Amino acid sequence: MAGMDRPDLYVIARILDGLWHANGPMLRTHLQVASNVNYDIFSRYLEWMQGKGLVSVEDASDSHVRVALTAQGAEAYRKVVQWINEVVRGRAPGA
Amino acid sequence: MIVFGGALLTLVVLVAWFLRKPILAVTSASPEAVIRDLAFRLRATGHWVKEREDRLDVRIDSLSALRIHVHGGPNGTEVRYEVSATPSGWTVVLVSAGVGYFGYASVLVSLLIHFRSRRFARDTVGQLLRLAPLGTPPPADVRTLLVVGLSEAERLATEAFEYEREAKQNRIGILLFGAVILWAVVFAGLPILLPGPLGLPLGTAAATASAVALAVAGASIVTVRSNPRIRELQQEAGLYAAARAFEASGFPAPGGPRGGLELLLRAAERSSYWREVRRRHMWHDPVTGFVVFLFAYGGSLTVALGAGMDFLPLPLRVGLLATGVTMLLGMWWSIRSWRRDVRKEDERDRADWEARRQALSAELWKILSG
Repeated sequence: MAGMDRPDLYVIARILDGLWHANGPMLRTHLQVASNVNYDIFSRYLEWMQGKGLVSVEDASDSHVRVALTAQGAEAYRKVVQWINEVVRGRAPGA
Repeated sequence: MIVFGGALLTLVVLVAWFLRKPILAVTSASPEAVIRDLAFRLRATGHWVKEREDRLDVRIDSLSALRIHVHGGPNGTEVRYEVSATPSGWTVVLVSAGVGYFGYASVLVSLLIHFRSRRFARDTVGQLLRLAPLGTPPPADVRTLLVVGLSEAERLATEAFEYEREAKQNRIGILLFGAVILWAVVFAGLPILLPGPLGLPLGTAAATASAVALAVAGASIVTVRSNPRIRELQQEAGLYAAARAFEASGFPAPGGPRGGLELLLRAAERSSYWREVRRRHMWHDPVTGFVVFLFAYGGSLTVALGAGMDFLPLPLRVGLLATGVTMLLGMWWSIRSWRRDVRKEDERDRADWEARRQALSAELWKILSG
């Protein structure tokens, strides 16, 4: 995981956005297109997010790999949105 | 009296605006819950809302606005409305009220704003109030948070875009005014410097050429410098409007943005700049804007009277000139003091924003890392 100590927040946001709006498991290739990064970089992000318990990767019987948001990932998404909301609205976050 | 009749009538309309706060609803829910609920209902239906402690400011169109006051009363929480105007609306009303016969146009604009705002309060807000019992908390889910956050980002970006566009128009207006003054000075001055048959035609040609050159070159420079910023802010406002509409409806527009969190992250980065643009606009602070306008208008009028009315006794003319110059100095002092305050606020905001940016980054990594 060299170079993934501090991943780009925007790429993570795009992946989380894609999964949240899909409202269920999403084909890995579709998610890669939505995240707007190349396959290698996307794989590293996916691995990082899987390691943090934010997403789960399922290898289905139809040989398509699907990615889903875990309960922990959905809660993290909600918290992050709430936190940024406060910042945009000019309030002291967490107060 | 006839000249100032328009201004007086406008004053009557404005006093009526401030004093009349008709009631829209009474509920047993707490004022805080009502404000939160009503703000969400308005945002979810695509309206531009600014939340304050005890009221909501809603923008209706480029001139009209509405203030919804929420206070505790003897029978429960009262929701009242007050007709208001946007900064552009205030500018049109106050400036036209102060310029002689234009005061009558100001009355018409005030009444137009009044009736639009009243109709919005009774029809749109009234309908929203009847949807569900007031004070029902908005669903505490991600979609609600996204609608609220994107709506706020849209409001900030649109305000910044409008302020920047208005600043460009103001600069061009000042340049045109300067060009007219230049024309008058050259037209009157050159025939004195060059007496003879050629003095007048030469003066006219030189005055016209220099005034047109100043207006065209100045306006081009202002346009070239301002347009990229204006375009960028306009695109941002459109992007957030589309994203908010998508999150509120759940149906993406073809080719429209989908990334709610990503756009919110960008909004968090940009919100400091949007606030800065808004703060730098003089009409954002209506009191300062109005004081500067009064000093400028009163000062230039008094100086012109003192200089031009040669049938008046000399001490009176000197008095008029001294008053006019004092008012113009007052204008200069007001602008200087306003700019100093803006600079201080910018520095404070930058320091505060840097601290918040670091806190934001640290908190996000903490949340994402579990």
